[in-house]
Amino acid sequence: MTVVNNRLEELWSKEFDLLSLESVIQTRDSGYAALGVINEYEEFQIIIMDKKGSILKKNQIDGNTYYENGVLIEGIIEVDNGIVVYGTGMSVWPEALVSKYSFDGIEIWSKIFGGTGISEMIAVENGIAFTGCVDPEFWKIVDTVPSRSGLGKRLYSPDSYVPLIYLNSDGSIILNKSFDTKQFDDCRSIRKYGDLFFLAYYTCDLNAGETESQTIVAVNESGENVWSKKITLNRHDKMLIADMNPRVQPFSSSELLIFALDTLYYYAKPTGTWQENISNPKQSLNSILCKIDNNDIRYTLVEPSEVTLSLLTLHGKVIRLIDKGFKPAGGHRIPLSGLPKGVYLVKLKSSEASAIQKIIISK
Amino acid sequence: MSIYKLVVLLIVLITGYSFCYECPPLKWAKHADEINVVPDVIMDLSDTSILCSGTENVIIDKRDGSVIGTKPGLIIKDKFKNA
Repeated sequence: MTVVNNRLEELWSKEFDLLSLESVIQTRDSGYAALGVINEYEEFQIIIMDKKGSILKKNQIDGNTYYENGVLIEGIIEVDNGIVVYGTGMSVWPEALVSKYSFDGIEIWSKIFGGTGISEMIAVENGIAFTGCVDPEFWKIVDTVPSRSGLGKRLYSPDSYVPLIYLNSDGSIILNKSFDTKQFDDCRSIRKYGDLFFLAYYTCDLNAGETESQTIVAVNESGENVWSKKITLNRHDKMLIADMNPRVQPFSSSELLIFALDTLYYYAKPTGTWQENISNPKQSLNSILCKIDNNDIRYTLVEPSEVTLSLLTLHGKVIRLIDKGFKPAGGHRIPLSGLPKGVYLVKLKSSEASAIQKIIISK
Repeated sequence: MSIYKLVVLLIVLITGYSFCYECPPLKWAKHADEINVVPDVIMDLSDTSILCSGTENVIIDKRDGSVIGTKPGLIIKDKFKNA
């Protein structure tokens, strides 16, 4: 295990006598918690370290407690003065095992979610959230045969494939939602920023031949889908380097990074609000790659788009349509000549972005 | 407050609420060939840079998606922390 800082400089490195080190997290006291595998599916170890890597405590977990054939432990998360361990029970049907332990190794609660594995789990404000893949082939079994613990039961509709489970730190369910995507999907990534969850899932649309696609969904805390983006790759059109694991990473309420199939996408809202745009036009313009000088308006399109460029009064009333139409990607220049003298707002709107800039026309 | 003002206020509030939940606009897109990495880990390094860690660690400029540099040898394997 090696710890590096933000400049990727090594701080310390440590070796453990384990089969593998499955997961490492930084705890709130700047220390670390690691999950080690001693015997696959059977014996695991939670290792608590201080910030310099000195071992403070080791706790053993017996996977056979939950399933005859053990558990495939996949990760750990620090939650509210404890550690949540999650994995998949080794049954003939998929079951997600979620257990919370104190730092002293005492099990506080355990839950089993029938019919889904866990692709990823994250810590959120007051608990945890996870996603995975629901396999409809196993629905009937899960519905009629209880798991060894007796907790397994049908949680989702048979047509739903992408789950979103949001648990309080005491194990109570805040949100139990699955998305009816009508085709085989495997949700690989979950993030939360503010009151939005972001799910990134892979789809293999068998009805559409060779087409693969990945979808990013933003879901609010009530489980409502507030927006989604689908990115499709056609194997016949491109050399396939497609990765099956889409990732989504929100950096702020206005910044989002997505890696889907074979491309890294950076989404960012123009910074500031309407009022801030007027008082700080330079910041607004830079953020959508648009520039105005004394002679012309220049803007750059990341991709071809329908564009509308309008001249507005300071109260927001459109007084002239400067340019409109479908524009190719790249730089564009619109001369200011012919526009009436005065102080105005210029509004540039494409299919992906819009920005408003204050402008003084003196010529 | 008149009904007219109340309706206008409601429209403004609803519009503002909807705006909060729009996907931000696409600023740039880079094919994996251009950034030389299929990232397993994506991290915000600073206001202007991103770390993409996969087969190697690539630092990318947020403003235009250009590659600032690479840090070979230290590959970050662990899952990144939630923002």
